Amino acid sequence: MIKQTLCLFITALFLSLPIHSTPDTAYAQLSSLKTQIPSSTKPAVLIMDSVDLLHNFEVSPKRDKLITKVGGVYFIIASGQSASMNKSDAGYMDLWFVKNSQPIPNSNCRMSVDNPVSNSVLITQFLISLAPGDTIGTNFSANAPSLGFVFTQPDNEPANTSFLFSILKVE
Amino acid sequence: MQLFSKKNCLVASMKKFAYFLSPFLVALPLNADVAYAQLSSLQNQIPSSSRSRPIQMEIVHEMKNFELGPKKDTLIVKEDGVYFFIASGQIGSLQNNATGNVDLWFVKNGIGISDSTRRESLDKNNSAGLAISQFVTTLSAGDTIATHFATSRPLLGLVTIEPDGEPKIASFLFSIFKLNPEGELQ
Repeated sequence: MIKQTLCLFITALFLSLPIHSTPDTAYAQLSSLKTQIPSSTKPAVLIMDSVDLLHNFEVSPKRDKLITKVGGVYFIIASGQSASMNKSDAGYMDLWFVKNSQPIPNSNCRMSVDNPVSNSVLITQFLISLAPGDTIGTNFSANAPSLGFVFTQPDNEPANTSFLFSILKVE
Repeated sequence: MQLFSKKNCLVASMKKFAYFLSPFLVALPLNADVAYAQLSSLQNQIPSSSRSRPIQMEIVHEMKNFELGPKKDTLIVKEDGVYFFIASGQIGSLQNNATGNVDLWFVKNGIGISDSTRRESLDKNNSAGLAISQFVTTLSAGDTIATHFATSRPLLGLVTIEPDGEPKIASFLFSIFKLNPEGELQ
């Protein structure tokens, strides 16, 4: 009888604790100030060398993925500033998410770089479940040499980063 | 005897407190109003005319407190709230010889959401682009939310691509989630 009552009491107490607090909030904002050009047409890993905001995530030592600390459903969005470093090269670039080193199905998006002197933004977004310890990163590819995500610093404007990555916990 | 009496008293007190808490705990909506969905399409969606049409999203990756309509082109809302949603269409042509514009916008309860249209132009043959739009709006239980598109040329549309050594490129991605799980914005 004592055990039962104690169990009921402790369960009730613990259940009531997390309802109005948000101990499991998690979000991150990362970017890259480096121009990233793949060395071949094979998939390459995107580096996020600049951490703007980070809560309940850890950046891997190579700065190419985030390590999840809190399980939940997350919204992720990534964008790359695609351009050509050579005025004679044109083609297209792909961008997709990678969870635990495996590509997330259907997360790939493509943008053409038809005019080698123009810039465009390649974006992909997804909602996905992540468990503590899961890693999340972004891969990209280009079908022509000199195509990649390019960093520029315009006068009197914020830096135009080569890559932006935002993640936030929805549940 | 005294110990027995103290123990009985403690048990009775704890029982009373636990029973007092129980109805409150049952009534508390533990994440009851969280809502989100991730959908995509692997179908090529090329309209036969320049008239607008709804976008199919036949693949459900994640879904909570939404229902997919029978034609798989509409989400039915189950929870009131303020929602963020973003849609992206992979623009291209199956014939590789079409240029022109593709417009994409959101539709709530069968009516286009004002100011939600985004246009992507393809200026060269055989090129790929993305039409992306995003919005924050209030939705009530029973409301429907969908994405429509229109093209300036018949051969243009939303295309699926299967690159070697990469995940498939979906013709359409749609993400939606409720912003205010505790109701602060309502």
